[in-house]
Amino acid sequence: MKSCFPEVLEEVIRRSADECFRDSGVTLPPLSAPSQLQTDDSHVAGLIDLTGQIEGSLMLVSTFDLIAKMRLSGIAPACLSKSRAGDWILIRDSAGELTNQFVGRMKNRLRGFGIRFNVGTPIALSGLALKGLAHKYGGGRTAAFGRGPDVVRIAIKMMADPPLTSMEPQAESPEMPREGGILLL
Amino acid sequence: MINKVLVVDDSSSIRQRVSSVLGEAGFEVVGAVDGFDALAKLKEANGVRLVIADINMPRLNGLQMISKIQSDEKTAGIPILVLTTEGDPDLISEARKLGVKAWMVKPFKPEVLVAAVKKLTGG
Repeated sequence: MKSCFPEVLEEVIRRSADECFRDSGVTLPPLSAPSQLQTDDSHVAGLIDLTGQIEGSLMLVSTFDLIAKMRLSGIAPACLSKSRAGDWILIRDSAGELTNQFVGRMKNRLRGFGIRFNVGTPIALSGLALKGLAHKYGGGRTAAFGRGPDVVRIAIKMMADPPLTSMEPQAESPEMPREGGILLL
Repeated sequence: MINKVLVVDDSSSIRQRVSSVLGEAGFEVVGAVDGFDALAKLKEANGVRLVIADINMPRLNGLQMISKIQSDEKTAGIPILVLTTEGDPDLISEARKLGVKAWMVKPFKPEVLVAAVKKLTGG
């Protein structure tokens, strides 16, 4: 039984990340969360606005190499090169899509706690654009997952904690599809 | 005749992956980056047998686009499969009212997508 929203959010982030990364073919255990999102030229990120009972935004940062390993576009990592601008565009887009899928899982899990919010379209970032924004996410809620050089960092900036109507997740209708599932209408 | 599928998603990674999976299964895939692009592609590309659509997209979102497809007599009969991260019952209910045939939650399993596309295209 959770006692407050930060505990619920922490658990939802951990579970959503674990499932999201596993579905992308990698296992990344939790790490101690950094207070700052530090980035360099190897990093790519997705940024998504959240509105409704959660107001704010979420940034997910990782590296070109790790996003390539996740094969979100279906292209093998060996076929992607940091020296090709087109590959950076694809990997940046994949980071945006990974962020989208992670936030989607968070949204679907938090609905069970009575929390509803809307998700914007992801913005994909790298280079100076990322550097300029990442430092603004210091001091917010952060989480990190990884092994060796393969690390994903997540930071959420929120205006305020939403009200919790339930401390335990309420069961969804069995008709609702889970990630990877299909519902014929 | 090869079945033609229109994939509408603002993510190039998803368009690439869906194209690859459906291409291997023998489908011809046309991509569109948002709802407006999709409506234009539907006019240009003859013989689209299925639309696979994301929900959260810039400019014209998935449900707005589906409403326009269904209200145009030239495209109203094309089956639509939604492929999204959303699992919100209210959105699914709205999609059902608009005539959407199937709702998939990302990430998709290739075999599930191919089976659904075959079922909906009769191919």
